[in-house]
Amino acid sequence: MNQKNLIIQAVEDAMAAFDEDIRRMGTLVLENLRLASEGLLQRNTDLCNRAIADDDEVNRLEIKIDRTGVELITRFGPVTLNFRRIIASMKVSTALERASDHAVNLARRGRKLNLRPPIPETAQIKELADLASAQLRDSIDAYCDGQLQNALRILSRDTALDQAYEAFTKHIVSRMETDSAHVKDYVDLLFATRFIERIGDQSVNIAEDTVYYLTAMDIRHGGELPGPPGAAASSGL
Amino acid sequence: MQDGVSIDIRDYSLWYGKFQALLSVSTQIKQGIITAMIGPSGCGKTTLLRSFNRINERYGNVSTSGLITILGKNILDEDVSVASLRKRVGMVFQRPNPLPISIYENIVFGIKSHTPSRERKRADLDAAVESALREVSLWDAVKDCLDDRATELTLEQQQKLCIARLLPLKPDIILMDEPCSALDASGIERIEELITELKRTFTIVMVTHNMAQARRASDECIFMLMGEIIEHTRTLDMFMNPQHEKTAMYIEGRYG
Repeated sequence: MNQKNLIIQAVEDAMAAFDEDIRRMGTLVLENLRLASEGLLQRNTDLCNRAIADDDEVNRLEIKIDRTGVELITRFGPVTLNFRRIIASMKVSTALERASDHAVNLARRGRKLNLRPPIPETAQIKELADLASAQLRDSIDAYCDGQLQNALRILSRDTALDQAYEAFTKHIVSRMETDSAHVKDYVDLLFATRFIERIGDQSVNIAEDTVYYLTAMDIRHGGELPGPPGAAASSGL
Repeated sequence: MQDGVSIDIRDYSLWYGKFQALLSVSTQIKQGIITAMIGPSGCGKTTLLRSFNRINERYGNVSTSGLITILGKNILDEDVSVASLRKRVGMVFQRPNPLPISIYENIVFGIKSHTPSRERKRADLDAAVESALREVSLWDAVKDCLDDRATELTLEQQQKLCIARLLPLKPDIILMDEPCSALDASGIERIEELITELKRTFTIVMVTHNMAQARRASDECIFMLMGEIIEHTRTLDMFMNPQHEKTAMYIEGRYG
């Protein structure tokens, strides 16, 4: 059909606005993560405070996306791809909101650490924060661009982040055993890295939601992965 | 009447002979939006719609009580001219009903009925025809065959024509009685698209049996049952969180 199809077009327009909100939310969360980790690494409490304050906008967007999703379902009764896209958008927004909460918690730990003299281990957080940030950014892109293979790659990348996190934890625990004077700092650092690691987990959730949206396959908790490119993309329709 | 209200209905009852089809209904239909009327067959939605331009009176055995105020005037008053009421309140029917004359003459028929012949100029009529057909996206398809009989158009085109012929009279309200029920899926989509565009200029009241159409194409929804208005609210609210159990049962498809 050459003529503009209103029903489909209205859904498509609403979907585009939806994606824009997800992207905007993603940009805000990434910025909050950057502010929180820079605030900690540079001992700049102002940056930490900004990360905490900017979380409000993320919360607002989460509510907006859920409301729009429910309205779209009510109004258009979508099926197949668009239906999964709406459900996935609502879940992605929840994952982003949680990621932003973790960034806020990271910023709060940062403020605490900044009150005490610096310890050298703090600098090691940068590697973890960079990994988590890149992973989150790529999961948001994979979702917004509908890139199945990029979404699937997030899953293996998170293993690398988990391993880096575990290695760091081990190192900090050994430092605690030998340097009891700084136990408070080490505990705060352990929490801080835990929040970063959880941001990685949220990017995995976004990747899983992306796979569900594109293929109708639920890969959570060890579910079967989609087959080679082509076969997977058609299975969802 | 309040600002933004197009049709104000107060304690309106209607009888066909001894049978009371509407039981003292009251509500306000807002200007510039699409209001859908839904409900099972025989609930009175079409009767109420047809009251807004007094087309029910054709049946002869109709009596009414109450008030229906349109543009500040109770249209049930005896001094109301039904012809001028119907100029302000146009109607589109379930099955397209173009007159068996040319496309051109279908559009100018209303103008000719409502304006004295000395005030009509051919150029004005041509312009009105083009503008009305453009507004319903029919111009490109019919501009070279305006003298063809309107009944030879497809059903979708005929329904567009029936909408187009109202426009030169500049109505305030367009009533639609299941305007898509005779059309196929793509025709429905295009008529809905047209209705959505028209609401910028007109108040649209539409009776529909198609719940999916009501929820995607209307701004507000009136649910009627056995001659009463059970609920009148924002369409999204009605389908997401109806306030009455009867509404919920109907829109969930448990009866109807």
